Amino acid sequence: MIDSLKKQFGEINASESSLNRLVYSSDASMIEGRAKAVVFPKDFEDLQKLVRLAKRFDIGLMPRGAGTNVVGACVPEGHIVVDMCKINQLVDYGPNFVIVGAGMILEDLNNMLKKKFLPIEMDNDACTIGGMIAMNAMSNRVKQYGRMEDWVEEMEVIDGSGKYELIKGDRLKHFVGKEGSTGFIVTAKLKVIERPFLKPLNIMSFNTITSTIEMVDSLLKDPNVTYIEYFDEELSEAMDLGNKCHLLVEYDNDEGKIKDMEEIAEIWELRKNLDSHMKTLGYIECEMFQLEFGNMDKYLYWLRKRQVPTMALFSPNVVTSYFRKREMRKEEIMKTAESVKAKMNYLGTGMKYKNYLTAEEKEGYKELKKYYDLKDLMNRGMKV
Amino acid sequence: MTSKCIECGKCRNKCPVYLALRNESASPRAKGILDNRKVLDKIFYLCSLCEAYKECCPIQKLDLNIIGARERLVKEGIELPKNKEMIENLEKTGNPFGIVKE
Repeated sequence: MIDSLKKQFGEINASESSLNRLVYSSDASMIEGRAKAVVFPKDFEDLQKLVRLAKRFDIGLMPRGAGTNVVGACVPEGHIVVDMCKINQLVDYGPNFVIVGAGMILEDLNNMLKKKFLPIEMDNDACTIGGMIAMNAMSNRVKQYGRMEDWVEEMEVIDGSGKYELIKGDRLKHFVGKEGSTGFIVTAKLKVIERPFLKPLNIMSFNTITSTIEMVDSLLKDPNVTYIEYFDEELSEAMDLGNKCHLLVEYDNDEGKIKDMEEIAEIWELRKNLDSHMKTLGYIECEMFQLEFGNMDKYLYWLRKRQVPTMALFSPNVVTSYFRKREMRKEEIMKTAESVKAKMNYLGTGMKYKNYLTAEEKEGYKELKKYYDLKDLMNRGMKV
Repeated sequence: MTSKCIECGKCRNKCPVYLALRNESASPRAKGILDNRKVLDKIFYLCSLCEAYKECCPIQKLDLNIIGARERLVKEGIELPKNKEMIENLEKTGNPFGIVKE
């Protein structure tokens, strides 16, 4: 197989060296898998050749962007890893759109766009656009800007049967958030908007989780509130807010008390670096679950009692809790999260939450595979 | 406080060697992965020593210690031909180019 790969792609763009196989066997989740080989396609034709070879040798393909996801979405299990980073061209742009290759890095795109931007801002902006689409990425401004699915207009793909397709409309959901299980996203047409001015913020402190949740409930009814995030005592300290529970709230009007642009920018900078800060403190693993609003206080109390550093984004009510590696409490937390009906794979399934796919989700993948990837080459064994 | 690479990949877009090659194995993260797994490889020679990764690395105390890895590689006899030639030249002539003073 490797001889055929090298013949088709050349020594530089196909490798089975032990080094490449080791490096491409994991991603930011630090889950370790096993890569059979690594290929670096440059265009549609390369991807079609690759699918033909994979069919011939009956071997699974694992598309990979920057490998910055934390759920093991590009951890291979004997797959050929397909690094999409060489397909990173700016294809076209207009006043309100941009067409880019899947390997385009988010930071590079936003630098190019200058006054415009793609409003899905990630803590780790080394991620690729293809990866963001495959994971249906969201930022902490999700209440205002939604997820990646809200910003993709069209995509050119090579599906699991090797067929080129222009995907738009209802069919976008067959690829967005599917973690590469239906085919390769090669280019994407994205909506972009004017970079907005910073908006006023409020910082509210609370003694109890119940009073915090009551406030969140009323803030959620305010149409002028664009962002609400909860920080427990430890994360509040990391944000320089003091040793209490806090809510950080952004407003679309003048209701926010913090109006000084420099101060607002400083707060957002602290927020952007919060995850890195926690990692520096040794909290190198985190779990992010989505819950029904009604179950939030119960779960937050439970975490607080066990002194697990936690923050929560409202809505969609995503709770992020931090752990030091191999902390035993993690298993206990998974069980408790299940008991409060938390959705484990809200931010991606990957290898980490593969066992939490519902029967309905699995059935959905099976149906899609029938149409786009009958031989189950894409992410083989990961979803079906 | 941790001082090990957490393999987040933030460094990729800052590394000039990665940006030129677009191969993860050339990235600072790859060196972190190797270091975490105690693997020594010639890839440690593929680095400009600019330490640009430190600009964005969330682990403030992370030091990939590329020079240390190169020292260990040389001790184990794992060298690149050009590197070997340079050391031999230094030993024979006192300069890396092997030019003998007339």
